Parts: sequence; C-alpha cells; structure tokens
Amino acid sequence: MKVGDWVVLAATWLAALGLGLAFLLGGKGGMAVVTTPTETVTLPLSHDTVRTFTGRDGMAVTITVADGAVRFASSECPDRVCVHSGALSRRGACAACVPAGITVTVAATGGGVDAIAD
Amino acid sequence: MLGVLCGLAVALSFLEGWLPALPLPGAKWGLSNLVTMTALSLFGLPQGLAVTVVKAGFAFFRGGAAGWMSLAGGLCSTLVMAVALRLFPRRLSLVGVSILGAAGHNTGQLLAAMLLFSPALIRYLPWLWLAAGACGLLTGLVTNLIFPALQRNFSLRRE
Repeated sequence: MKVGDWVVLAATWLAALGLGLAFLLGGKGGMAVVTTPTETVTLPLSHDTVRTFTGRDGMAVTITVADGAVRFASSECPDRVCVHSGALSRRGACAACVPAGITVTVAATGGGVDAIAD
Repeated sequence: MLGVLCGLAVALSFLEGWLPALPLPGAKWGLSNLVTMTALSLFGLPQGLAVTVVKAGFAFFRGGAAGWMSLAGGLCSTLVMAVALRLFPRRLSLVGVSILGAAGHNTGQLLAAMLLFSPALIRYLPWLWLAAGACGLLTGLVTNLIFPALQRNFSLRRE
C-alpha cells in the first residue's frame, strides 16, 4: 500500500463521518410540508394529527404527525417504500410516495400558511 | 481477453451473492470491481466501460431498478477509477483506486435509487461510504496480490 491509499481511505471515512454528523445535527424540524399533485399543506410537528391525501390515479396515503415526527402511516401504492421510510423529524428530512406523487419534507418552524390549494 | 474479463465480472457478481450479506440496503462486497480495475489498468477506459456495461446488462435480468442502479453505480465507479489511475499513477496503488471505485459505485447507485424510489434514501450515504472504505480496501488488497501473477502470466504492462 502506498501513501495515497491511506489518504483515500482516511478521506472516505472522514467524509462518511462528516456527512453522518451533518445528518444527525440537522436540527429538529418544526413542520412537515406535504406536497401532492393538487395541493401543498403544512402540518406543525407539535400537533399530533392524522390526514389522508389523494395523489395521482386516486392513490390515497395517510400521513400522521405524532411525537414530533411525521410519517407515511399507510399507502395504497404497490411497494410501500414511503411507509418504510419511517418517521421524519429532522430539518431537511424527506420521504416520498413516488407512484402517488406525494412528498413530505421537514422544515424549520417559521411563518407560513396552513394550506395552499391550487 | 476482454470477453473473459466480462464473463469473470458477471460470475463474481453472482458468486458474491453467496457471501453473507452486508447489513446495508444495496451494499455488496464488490468483488467484481476487481475485474473492472484490471480492465482499466491493463487496457484502458473503453475496456473498463465495456465490463461495466456488460455487468449492468446482466443486472437488468434481475429487474429494471437493479439494472439502472448497477449502471449508474458502475459508470460512476469506473469513471472515478479511470481519473484516479490517470492522475495519481505513482501515489496510489490499486487499493486506493479500489476504495474510490467502491465509494463511486455506492454513490452512483444510491443516486439512482433516490431517483427511482425516494430521496429519503440519502440517509444511507454515510454508511455506504463507510462500507466502501472497508470493502474497497479488501478487494484492493486481493487485487494487489493477484496482479503481479497476472502480469507475469500474460506479459501485460500496467498503464
């Protein structure tokens, strides 16, 4: 092994560490932004709630907010990748139900509207 | 020779499925990267890319998503390795190239998965890089062991 190899190994592991820390320290989010083909809705993470949204082709998903985190509780999509994405609570975290065209992103608290309907 | 390498790459891809799986989605040991590296350093970028494309072609048999992920990861990996081999021929051995290739493959593959499934998958990137360091190191050391034997038996120069 040569010097460069150690550099590459160290750099790769440091990058992994750095990125991991950045994800962890992202800061707790304050609200979840749900975007569907027809509307954009903001749900404060401080209020537990259960909402159903209808996406493309009439596919329905249920999104819940509980314990400061938002998640896809259930979905009519075939693979349920969205459901398996788990609970999101950090700023910048996001999950999507691609077949339904519905995405959920966690943002910082701050002004904004409760719902925008197209 | 290139045909032999392609066959070897596909065989290794298949065989490493028999090894215990890594606890990360989409993470593999990456034994077939050994062949891509050999093709790159003994022949050149076109040959390295040929191996990559053939591997991805076989991955498409397992499913469209698997094929695209293999292609994205493979292209990213092969290009990164080719650049590394060109820029740092003296300071890097195949171990460093292998690690870069592994990291490149994981990154390209994850980006494809994020496009195909969900952007939330990005959370796996730090873990994948961690695995890339370890697996790249392993496959690189193995390649370093067999490379001199390859050179002797086939009278091929390393570029």
